[in-house]
Amino acid sequence: MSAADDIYDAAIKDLAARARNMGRIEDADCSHDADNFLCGDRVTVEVALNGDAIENIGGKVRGCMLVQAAAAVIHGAAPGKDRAVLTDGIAQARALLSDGTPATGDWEGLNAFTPVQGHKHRHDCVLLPFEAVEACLADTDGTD
Amino acid sequence: MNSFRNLFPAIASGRARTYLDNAAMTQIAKPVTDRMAEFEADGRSNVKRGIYPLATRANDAFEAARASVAAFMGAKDKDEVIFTSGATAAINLVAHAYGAGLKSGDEIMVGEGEHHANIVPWQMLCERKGLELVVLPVDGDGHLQIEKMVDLISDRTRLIAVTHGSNVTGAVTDVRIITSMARKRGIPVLIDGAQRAGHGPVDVASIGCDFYVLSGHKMFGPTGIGALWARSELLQDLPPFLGGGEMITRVSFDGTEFAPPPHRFEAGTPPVTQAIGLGAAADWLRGLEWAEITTAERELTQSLLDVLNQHKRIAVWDPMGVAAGKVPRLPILSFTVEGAHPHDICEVMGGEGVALRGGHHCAQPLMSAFGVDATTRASLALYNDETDIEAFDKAITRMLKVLS
Ligand SMILES: Cc1ncc(COP(=O)(O)O)c(C=O)c1O
Repeated sequence: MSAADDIYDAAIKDLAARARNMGRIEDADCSHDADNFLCGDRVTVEVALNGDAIENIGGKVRGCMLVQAAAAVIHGAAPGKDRAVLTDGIAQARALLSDGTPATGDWEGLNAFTPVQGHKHRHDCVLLPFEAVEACLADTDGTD
Repeated sequence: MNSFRNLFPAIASGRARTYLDNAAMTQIAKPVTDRMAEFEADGRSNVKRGIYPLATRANDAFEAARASVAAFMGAKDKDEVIFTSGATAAINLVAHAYGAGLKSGDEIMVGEGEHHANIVPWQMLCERKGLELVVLPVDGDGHLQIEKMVDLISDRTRLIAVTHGSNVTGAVTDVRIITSMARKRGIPVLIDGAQRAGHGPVDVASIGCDFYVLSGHKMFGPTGIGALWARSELLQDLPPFLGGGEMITRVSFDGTEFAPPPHRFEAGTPPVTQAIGLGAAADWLRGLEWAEITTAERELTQSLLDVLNQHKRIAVWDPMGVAAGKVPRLPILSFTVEGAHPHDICEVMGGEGVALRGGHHCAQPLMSAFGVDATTRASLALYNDETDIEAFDKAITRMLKVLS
């Protein structure tokens, strides 16, 4: 096995395949395009809110397997929760990638990315969908 | 083993084991680093104004490098060559200096498949001066549709800027058709030779263009250096782009007189060592047997294609229907793999020791024309050989398994 292969284990592949289930949301409360300007990957997220609760997350992922898998984790974890769950999610994702702190609670699914910790140049791939949702929600601040 | 390999320490040592990312940056040749090291150790001094012997020698070495680059490009006069930091800076220089004389409503024509370096400076110029950017389209394979030029040229067309060779597909533009059409209408043509330059000397006179740009790091030279060649009649009349020292004849608060070309366009201390390195690369390349090298590059391109064509999941973006050899092309191939993203492909192949590049290759309009977000690219240089193809073949098979 080469150094790169550990990223592409069954858990990540499975998550990436699930990103396809993330549909578009026509009447979203916010939408945002996040670009990784270095590689050109783009995540478009759309969020439907109900008060402070996230009703649904949708969008489109044009990126590598890690970007897709991270989008799928968010799509699986966030709907039905308070929007603050995403602040927790991005903090947990950063902690997992920077020092291997296991993710817990709503974000246990992030532990699939543990092998990515040793591939620093790919951390941004995992974080891109989180940053997209964060920026999307920031657009709605104080309006809902 | 390919005899060039020994001249490239990173290739010979295996640090750049299967290096197929030459379109982004070639490895640097030993004759180049030798000449640069020699200058740094024995000849270092600033250029253009020193009187003492060391400074005079440094200036002679710098001007000799200019002559070497001029010879590489087939220029009749070394002073038609301006050192820049690379192809991007050279195109920006033209956009500013030549663009200064353009007026609202004038048009610039660019190819759809260009590198962003040959799109964005023109877009910025259009924005600054109220010009129109006219796009010469590519077909579904990325092949420039030169026949459409006739309809797209107008009496407001002031410049045509196209690449000599695509950094994505390897397609070589039939630049002579473009220049002859443009010449009849008095329209200058800029050729982006960034990719072409690593595959042998060019001849700006027979191409018939007015501006030609290249980058040192894609032709076995150092980074941070490139060149613009411009026809001297045009150059004489262009205003400077950057102002500063070394580009003037006299400065006073009543007004400043600019130096003649090429110095008018080289404000400040130039990257002297890098320019000397670029000159060394140009000399070395001029001394090689290009007919042989081109044949070898074509055969290896065909071998790469044969590897890719074995697999149903792989589609090659091959603009020329490559029976490699029938049409001129650069040894650059882009491909997509069903169900696998280029970044994942590059990660897995990189783990196998094969250096490839995945992404939009700074050619997003071309990606849009292809209807993809990104491709994976393999690009060859004169030091690649069958051992690289074997490693590529193995890594492709492994990648298809890992990313299934
Ligand atoms: C066709 C083409 N033009 C221009 C450039 C820009 O060259 P540089 O980045 O050296 O300025 C590149 C670099 O990849 C290129 O491939």
